[in-house]
Amino acid sequence: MLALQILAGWLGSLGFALLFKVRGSNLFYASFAGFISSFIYLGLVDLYGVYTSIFLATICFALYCEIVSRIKKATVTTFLICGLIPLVPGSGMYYMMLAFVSGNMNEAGLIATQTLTIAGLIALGIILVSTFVKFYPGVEIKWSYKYYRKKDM
Amino acid sequence: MACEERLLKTVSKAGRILLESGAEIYRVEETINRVLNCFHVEEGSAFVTPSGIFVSFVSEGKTYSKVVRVTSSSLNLTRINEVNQASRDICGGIIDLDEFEKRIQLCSRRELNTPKLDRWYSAMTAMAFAVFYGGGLWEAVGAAIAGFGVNCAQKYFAKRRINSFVAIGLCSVLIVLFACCFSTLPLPFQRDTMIIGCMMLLVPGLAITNAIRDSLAGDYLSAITRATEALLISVSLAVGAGIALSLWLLGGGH
Repeated sequence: MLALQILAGWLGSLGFALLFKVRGSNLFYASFAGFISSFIYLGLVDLYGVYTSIFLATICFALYCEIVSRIKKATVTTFLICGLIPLVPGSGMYYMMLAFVSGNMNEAGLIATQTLTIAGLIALGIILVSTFVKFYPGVEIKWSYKYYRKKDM
Repeated sequence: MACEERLLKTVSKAGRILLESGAEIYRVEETINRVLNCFHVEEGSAFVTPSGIFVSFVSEGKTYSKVVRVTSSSLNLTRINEVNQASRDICGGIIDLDEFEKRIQLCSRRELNTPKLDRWYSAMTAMAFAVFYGGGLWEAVGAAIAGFGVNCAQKYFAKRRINSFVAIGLCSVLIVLFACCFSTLPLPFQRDTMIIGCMMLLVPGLAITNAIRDSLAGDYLSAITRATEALLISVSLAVGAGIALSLWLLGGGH
């Protein structure tokens, strides 16, 4: 069942990549980001709980995205969006509404807080990774100014 | 002289394509600024908001400027990558302005839109997420049907120019009502899993990512705009589901 769920996470990010019009070999790399995030999240969620596993999964897939975007010379967003999708707390939103509609205000508030925390953790993970890769020299894609182009205009 | 006009036209077109395809704001600004800088114009600067682009530069004592209002948007990550590559090539001296113009033209004309296939992609995505959230065969089947329907509904709402938040709320209502009807069938079926799988299609993934990346780049105005967008989309998703659920409960369902 777990393996099936992880594969489903991969397929889901592949579907999102297709909907966002990613084409070519980037399609595989983008959906693989979704595989990483769902693999780590589902693998660790029983051991460490939701928050830790979401945070670790975010760190790992964001790192993968930063690396692969430099190898493939594509924008980080291409991979980041597809990897992020399996972690987005869509279920929290729904269960909050379900509790709200059934008049269970305390539970609705609790789930809302949890959902916001998860969203914040995902943001924090991505921010951490994309800040720390900047400390590693040589990974920035170089832009060159050495050609004087005024004459070609 | 005509060259400056052409440069202005081309960079603003490149920026427009980037913004329409869903690039981050700082990427649009940076691309325009870098292309302008590598032509050594004076005071080249771009100011980009999620709904418009302002480009201006000075060349030989004359000021050139252009305002581009961007309303439509169609997500297309491949186009972002192509424009990005073209601007990197022109800064690296690999291509000249003619070639750059040609590639930008090609990008804007290139249509990757495949409305028929999109429905199947969205059915596949909804099915996958129903399984991801622990659903079995019937949840997957129900989610696939609903995902197909949601994509058709989204296209219809877009054609009718319905406000995107209202459209997402309506899609959410449709999903929940469909799931409730589907759950009356005598099948081993978990309604919640199917609904969540389907609602993942409408989750604001791009808005969240762009909000994070823009705030990282120090562009707080755009970051706030994107974050608000993400929040509003989530709220309308939840409100739509809430309305449909309470309707269903009022009607005697459970």
